[in-house]
Amino acid sequence: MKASIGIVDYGLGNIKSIMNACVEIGSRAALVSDPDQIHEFDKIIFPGVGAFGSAMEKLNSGGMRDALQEMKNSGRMILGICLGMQLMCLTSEESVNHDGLGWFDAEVVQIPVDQPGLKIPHIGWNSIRIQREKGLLNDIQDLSDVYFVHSYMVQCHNKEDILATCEYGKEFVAVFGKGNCYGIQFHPEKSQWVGLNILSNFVRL
Amino acid sequence: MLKKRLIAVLIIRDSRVVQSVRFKHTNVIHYDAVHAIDCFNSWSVDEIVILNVSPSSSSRDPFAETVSRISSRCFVPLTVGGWITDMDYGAEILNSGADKLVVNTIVHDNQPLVAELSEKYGKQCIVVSMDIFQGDRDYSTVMVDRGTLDTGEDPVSWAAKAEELGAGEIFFNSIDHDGARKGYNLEYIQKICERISIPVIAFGGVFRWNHLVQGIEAGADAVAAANIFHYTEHATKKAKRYMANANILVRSEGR
Repeated sequence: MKASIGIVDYGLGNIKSIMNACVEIGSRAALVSDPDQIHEFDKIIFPGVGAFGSAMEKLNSGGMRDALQEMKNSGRMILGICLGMQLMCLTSEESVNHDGLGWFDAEVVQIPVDQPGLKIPHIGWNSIRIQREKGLLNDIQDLSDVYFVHSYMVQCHNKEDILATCEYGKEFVAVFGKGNCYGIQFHPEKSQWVGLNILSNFVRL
Repeated sequence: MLKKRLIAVLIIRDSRVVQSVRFKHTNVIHYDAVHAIDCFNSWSVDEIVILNVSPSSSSRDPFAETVSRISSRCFVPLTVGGWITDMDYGAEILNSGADKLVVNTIVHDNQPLVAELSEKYGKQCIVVSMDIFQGDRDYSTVMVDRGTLDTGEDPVSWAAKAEELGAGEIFFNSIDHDGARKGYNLEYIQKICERISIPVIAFGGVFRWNHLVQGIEAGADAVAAANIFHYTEHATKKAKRYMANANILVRSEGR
């Protein structure tokens, strides 16, 4: 049987962990590194770790950016994880010379560094406030703890896009969604039951 | 709020989970590490550390295979170390499903490699483990190479140097306390936490749940244990409940 979820492999990210999580929840997933094959999948998971600028360069140079844009236009579900979420925004303070995909009216800013005791990156289990319990966050309890690793945070201009927030130094967007596009700042594949349930919700969307 | 983490440690020697007592590894606890992971998964541990303490570098490939099997069942962060002495093996361990790398001996004999790993994967990916030893002396020093080589270096300066080299966390152990059931080396955990600004994971010596609380009170961001978790049913769940009752912020179990 053909895999229904394509995990975009563009040389950045904890691909194996996401693959393991998809297997655990019983979904048929496969890695996809060839932009020409992306359209064969019903849904796309778009992971990423590392720097915003070099990731955008990779997407732009390999044809992956256009392929992702076509998937978005076709209305199929796309889930960005960690840096994948940040790449869906307009810009990032991490790399002012590179624009993001611009799918969300949102910016990526630095975690405030001027607060005593606040360590950067933000690593560890932190609780999310659910703003909209629908679709992706169906049946996820408010104040669930999930696993974060990041140095930059997303701020949405359009409050309606925010599905969940978290606080570290200041409030930031932990989950956003608009149309067929979703983004998660934390790592659902490393957030035990809560994370696996969110991925199951994505499969069912 | 960011939670204090409870970490389960698996000490692996020649593909088997062993007990560690003052760095001697004789008692086999599990023949199959994956079984141990399945227990920890259902007991809501926050992170898993796997250390290869095999005496020979020929253990590297079979250990990576073990990591790969463990990672397919592990849905919390997986931190892995032992015999990481070059970039290629670091990459192999990450490709096997590790989220973070633990390095120890290269902080003594190959510091540029620590910096290079940190540069390539980000400092959140690099955990420097340090083993300190006092013995009969009235001072402690840092030991490397599975506790066999005395560097003569002061533990607090060592931790500061690790931070400078690009470590994202310190995994602290004391050979005098390892498997000795008397709790952590609180004196040095406190000294190190006061000196550096990256998170410190306390390890070595937990025999009662209160030892975990003492580690957090000494300044650690995370508390780890090995032996005790293998011998108590639902151990990590009980440990977390104890920590929560002591007013430590721990991860809610969620489902």
